[in-house]
Amino acid sequence: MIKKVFKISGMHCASCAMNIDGELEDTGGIKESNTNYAKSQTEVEFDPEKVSDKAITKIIKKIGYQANPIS
Amino acid sequence: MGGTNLIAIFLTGLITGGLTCLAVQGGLLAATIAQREEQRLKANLKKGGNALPIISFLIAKLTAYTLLGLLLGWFGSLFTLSITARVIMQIAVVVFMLGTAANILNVHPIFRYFVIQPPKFLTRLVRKQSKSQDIFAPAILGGFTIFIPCGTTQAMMALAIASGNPLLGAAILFAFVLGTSPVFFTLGYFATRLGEAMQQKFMKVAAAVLIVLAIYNLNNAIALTGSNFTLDNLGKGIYCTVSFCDSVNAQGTQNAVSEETISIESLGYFPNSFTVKSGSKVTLHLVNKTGAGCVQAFTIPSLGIQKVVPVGGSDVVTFTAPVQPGQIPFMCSMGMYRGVINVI
Repeated sequence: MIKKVFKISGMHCASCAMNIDGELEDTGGIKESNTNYAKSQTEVEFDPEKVSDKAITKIIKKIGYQANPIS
Repeated sequence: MGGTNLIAIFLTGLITGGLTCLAVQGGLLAATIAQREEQRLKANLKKGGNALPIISFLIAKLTAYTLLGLLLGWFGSLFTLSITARVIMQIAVVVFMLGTAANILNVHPIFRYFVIQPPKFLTRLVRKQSKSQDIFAPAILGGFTIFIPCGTTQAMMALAIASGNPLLGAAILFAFVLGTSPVFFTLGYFATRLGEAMQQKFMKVAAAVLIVLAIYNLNNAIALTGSNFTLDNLGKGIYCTVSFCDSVNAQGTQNAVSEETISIESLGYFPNSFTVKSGSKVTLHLVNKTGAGCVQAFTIPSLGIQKVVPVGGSDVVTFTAPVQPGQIPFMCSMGMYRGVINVI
């Protein structure tokens, strides 16, 4: 399991953070996702063997937000 | 708070509130309906869905928020003992509303901190509920939405606290959530999503409405400090400078009295202007006929007087008029209904 932080843009309210967390946590290989609206970023704990950075970015993009890995 | 202000709150909900929260709450609602009758929903998507789960969601939501308003108003009433505390509270609400508006308008990322994000365990709870196949799931979900309020809703919650009255707090959130319901119902029924461009436009309207509400509340807060520099007084001042209405004002002032009966009604205080002699002892008989809400709390900020007269009740206030001639404003506890005592 590794932790990675992604910068998110396009969130217009705190509940969008909930959408992102929900969608990511429903994905196999992702253990936990913590999206912070005020900081516009999400911290994802995932298994790099099962999910890639790219896949995560793609999931977030699919529900309407832009994401870029920071760390 | 009078009916007019509740109508304004209802309209705020109608125009904007539903949309600022729709992204998530609407999505959750659709998910719940889909869980229960996936096939049916798919088949009928074009014709529209089933109204029943949406109605149960909305009724539960309305009930939950009304109770929340009651609780917030009660919570606010614990802190409303002093006029100073009320002024601070009201200004805090103004700052919160402006911060929320600035965030919606993307003025600066710092304003994102004005939005209170609910804790993770609550958002998980709400989300889990949306996956339930239980027949009561939409209702429970509707009730749970109080844990994930969005910008405008949070501002209304702040207003409910500032009202300092459980019934008024309940009325504020009831009016607001009732206003949000038609949009929720329509979009939930047809399971459609609002386009991004449309959403952006409505968010701008939401911000504008918030700013107007903030200015209105700020004006009330100014009045509550006992200052005469409210926007309406400034407006009157400008108007009178242009049109010489001072003479009209002079005609309006009656003979000095030492005793006056003020009737408290739903639209304010009657009479809302009378004259007393400087340095004299003044007795006011407060009779509440129909005034529910904050109009019940008769307040003279500059003299530190506050008397709550419930509907059907009456009370007496005595004070010694200041030696300096001038105007002493009086008002309700939120500074909304106002009047003036002329000291000559």
